Amino acid sequence: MNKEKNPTLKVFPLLRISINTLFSNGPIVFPYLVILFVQFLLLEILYFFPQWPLNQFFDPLVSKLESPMFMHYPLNLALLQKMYFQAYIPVYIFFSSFFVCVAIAAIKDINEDQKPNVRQIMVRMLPFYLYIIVTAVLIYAFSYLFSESFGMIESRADQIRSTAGPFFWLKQTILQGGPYFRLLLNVVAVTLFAYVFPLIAIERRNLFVALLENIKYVITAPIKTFMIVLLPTVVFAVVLLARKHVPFEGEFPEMRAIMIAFSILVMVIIDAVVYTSLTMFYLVRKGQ
Amino acid sequence: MKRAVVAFILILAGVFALFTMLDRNGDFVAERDLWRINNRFAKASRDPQIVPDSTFRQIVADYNAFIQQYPESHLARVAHILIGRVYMVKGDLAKGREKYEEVAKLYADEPKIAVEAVADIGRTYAIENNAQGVIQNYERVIREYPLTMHGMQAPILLTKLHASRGDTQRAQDAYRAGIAHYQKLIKEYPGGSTEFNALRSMGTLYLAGGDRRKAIETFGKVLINFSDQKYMTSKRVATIVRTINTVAIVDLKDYDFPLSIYREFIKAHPQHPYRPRFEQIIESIELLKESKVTLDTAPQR
Repeated sequence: MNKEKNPTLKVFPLLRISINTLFSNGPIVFPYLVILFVQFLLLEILYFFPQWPLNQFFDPLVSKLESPMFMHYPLNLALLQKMYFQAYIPVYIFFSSFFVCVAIAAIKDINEDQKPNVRQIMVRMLPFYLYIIVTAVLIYAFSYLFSESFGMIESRADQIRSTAGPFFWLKQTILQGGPYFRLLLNVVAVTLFAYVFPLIAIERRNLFVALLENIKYVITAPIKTFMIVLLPTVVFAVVLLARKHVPFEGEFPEMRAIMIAFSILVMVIIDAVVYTSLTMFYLVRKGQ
Repeated sequence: MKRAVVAFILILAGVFALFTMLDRNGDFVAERDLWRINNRFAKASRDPQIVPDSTFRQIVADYNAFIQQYPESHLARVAHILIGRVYMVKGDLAKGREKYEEVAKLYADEPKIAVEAVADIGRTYAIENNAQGVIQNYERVIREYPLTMHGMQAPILLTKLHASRGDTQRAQDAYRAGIAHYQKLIKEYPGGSTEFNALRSMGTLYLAGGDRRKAIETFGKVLINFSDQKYMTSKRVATIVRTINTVAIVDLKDYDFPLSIYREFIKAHPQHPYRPRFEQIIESIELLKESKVTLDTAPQR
């Protein structure tokens, strides 16, 4: 295969083909729909946390960990985002990561001109569940570590007293751009483990082999891998911008919940595009 | 896949409907509905002169609908009072008073609610600059709701009102009547929160009347007799100690008076968790006393 002529080896055409593949192949989209459904369900349940019967469980918890005032309207909505993202971590580790691998295996089946059957793929993936969980934990741990490190930089920047000049601008950039830097660091964390899921789902490698081979694949095409993850993720900046500019304190505090739902939708779409592109990129490179 | 999508949407809609139905008339939903009406009221209150009457009528109608929908909720009481406030903001003070009287009658067996309505009647008189109305209202609060926080505050406010109007004689009468009123309450309700609140209010009234020694003495009694942390929260101790120190050391230039109160506290409650705090205060006052620092209320030049 001629590297220059193969459109799937260039980032933008690869992304375009990935999106087309997603549109035309239900079995690839289905696992992401399941992820979307579970995350919406989680958000929906948490949305009702101050109401009976969920308040029986959440009232003592929220009162102890946060403040009883968060059990009242509209402050409950201010806590919703924090609660959702805390509840999302185990959902990502134990559930979403598995379905991402199911989607990846479906791409492989389509690539081999087989008709993918999601149920069969799920059964096929079950023996690798532990590897998938550990990989998800690693991705989350790196992302968390990067985020915490950036938090330290933010704390240091916050101590800058300058009100003008380069140090002031540095402080402003770090503090104002916090969510964007964190998004970028998350892209780095995903890039570091970009091929582990495809290696487990397609090649059925054990975890250590998958991690080692992943390093080889990342090192041989670091910029392209990074760009494949980065470009779709940049769309999330729109959500960050919207979060900053949508008024939450107005007549419709439920806007917070709607924004979380919107974030979930965008993030699942981004994941679908990223992992489909990474898988296709992996398959092409493997074919070479 | 289409079937799965439809199933997902149906489940999400079903869960939403289920949780909505389960707590349809619950406290949280009532709170949310009231917040929405309050939000509109707050918006209309920003510039009531330019807001059409129909807006206020609608807000009143919404509060009434709220009361109808959640008659058992504790927020129904709040909604009743808020209707009176809508009339007050609108400038229809007579109608506001009428509503407040209705609330006071409706919740006659719940003094905490009734007194809120009666206190608002006083505010309507204040808006009209009707001092006589305000005075009579304070007297009513003292007479009918003596055990509520408004009832405890009223003698102090009444004394201050007479004084601010330059009516020294009536201010002194109100002061004496207030002290007698608190002493009666202390006698009738010994040992509980009523005595605690009455003592604190009496101390404040002594201060308002310029009787500083008696004020410090009273606050000292509050500290010593109500050392239980149920009454004596950290914030309250800080407020009382600050008042005692300011009045005794700054105004009366008397270091020994607060020292004797704090020493008596330690003697009466040797195991009290605030003991180290009071020992530190004693140490600080003794240092001040030894160094003969003169604290003056006059601004430094």
